[in-house]
Amino acid sequence: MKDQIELEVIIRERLNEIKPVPARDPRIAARARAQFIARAVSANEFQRHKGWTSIFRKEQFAMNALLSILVIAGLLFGGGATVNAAQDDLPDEPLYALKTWSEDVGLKFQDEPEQKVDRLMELAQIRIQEMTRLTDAGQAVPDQVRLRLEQHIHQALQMCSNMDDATLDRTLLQLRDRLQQQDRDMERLQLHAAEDAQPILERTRTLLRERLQLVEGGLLDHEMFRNAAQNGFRYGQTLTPTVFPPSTPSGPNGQQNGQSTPQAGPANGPGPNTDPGGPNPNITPAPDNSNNEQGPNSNDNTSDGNGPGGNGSGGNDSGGNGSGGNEPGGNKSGGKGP
Amino acid sequence: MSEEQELLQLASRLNPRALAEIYDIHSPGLYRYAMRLLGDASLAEDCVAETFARFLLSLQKRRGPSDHLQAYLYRIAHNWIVDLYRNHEQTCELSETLRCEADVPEEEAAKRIRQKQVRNAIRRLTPDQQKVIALKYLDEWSNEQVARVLKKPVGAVKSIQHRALKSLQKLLADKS
Repeated sequence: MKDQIELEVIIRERLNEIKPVPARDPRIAARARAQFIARAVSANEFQRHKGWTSIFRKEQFAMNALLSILVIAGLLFGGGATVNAAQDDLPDEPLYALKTWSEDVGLKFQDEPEQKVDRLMELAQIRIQEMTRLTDAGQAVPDQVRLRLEQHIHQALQMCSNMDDATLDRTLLQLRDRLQQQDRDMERLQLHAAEDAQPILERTRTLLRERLQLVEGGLLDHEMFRNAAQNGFRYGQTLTPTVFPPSTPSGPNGQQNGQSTPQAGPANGPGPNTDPGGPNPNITPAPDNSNNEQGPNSNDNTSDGNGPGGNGSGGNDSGGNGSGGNEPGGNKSGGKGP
Repeated sequence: MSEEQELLQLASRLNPRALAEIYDIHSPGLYRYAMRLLGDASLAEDCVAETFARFLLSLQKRRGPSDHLQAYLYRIAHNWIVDLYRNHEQTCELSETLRCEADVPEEEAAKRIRQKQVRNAIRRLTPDQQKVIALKYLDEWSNEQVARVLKKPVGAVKSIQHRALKSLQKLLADKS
């Protein structure tokens, strides 16, 4: 132990010779310090940059998801703006298809039957406004507008048929008011419309009157109205004769739709189709209304596939058949249908 | 959390201010340490600069120390010195027959020769023995502090210290 201490003393003595250190050159020390700080700052910036790169690489999935959300949001909001812009378009304009599509989509989200009926009648009013604008502009009214109007009203009536008595009464009253208003609108439009626009306007007005009679009949007898709805509104067979005078059977099958054309003679039904080759003005929607969710076929419970979708060519011959013959495939016996 | 740990936490994020503070705290001691062992101001400055450069690199690689920063820095510095010794085995050997400059008094020249004898003796020790001698007898560190640099128990440090003193005594006796 003593040796150890002595040894330590000796070595300390020798080491003390190198212990004193001359003062460090302050300029060199300052330069060294500045160099280190510069390195530190550079490293800090590099790491920040690297951090971002790393985030972009590691979180690529998250970034993709974020981008997707942004794109979808852009489409939704931008798409919304486009749909809004389409609302003023007429059938001959590019965004009209988008307008009708948005109407159909909107309808799908209507759950309340009363609200849906209300919306359908609003859409019917929009169709009449389109007819008015086209006529005012001196343009022909495409038949698709009239068919779509018919589709809206038909859907509204179908919706009504599933309502309870109280709701049905209330809704039919509203429907009646709407149809009366639309009939008056059409009457005004016809007054100043050009000659060549008259046929389609007349057909539209006829349709409105027919449906108005259906609604008025429904107000008197709910059950008959519901039966008519189940039969796809084969007016002559279902509605009460007190509202619609029975027509004289003229077709070979004796099945007529006299009520749908009260102004026509018993044997003539709605009269000749003034639009040869086109759809009969007194029939339910044509096949191109395939987007109609509750189309005229939906409640057609006939077993022979009769329905508005099959517009029998034989039924369109000029005034030869009663209105029942003009209903596309409307004969339960199938005698006139395709 | 200790002040040093807070500083290290900031340094681990490469905070320039924290790094500057660490430099200011430890660079003077490191310079002295290197100067005593190397006897050359320029090499000592290189040692300090390289020590902090390696420290910065380890922080960038997220392998920096979480505590005992002083021990960590001295370990780096001493490893650099040992590497220098090895790489310049032939050329760096300090000659005991250095010529005396004309303007250096005789006594000063003799002092320099003695200093170089001591440094040459130390560099012949093992790296751990060098550390123990330099830290304990030149920088006056405690055995615990030295143990942190060596990453060895205090008992092992004492043992290394004893062997180092014996070796150094022998080396210095031979020279004298």
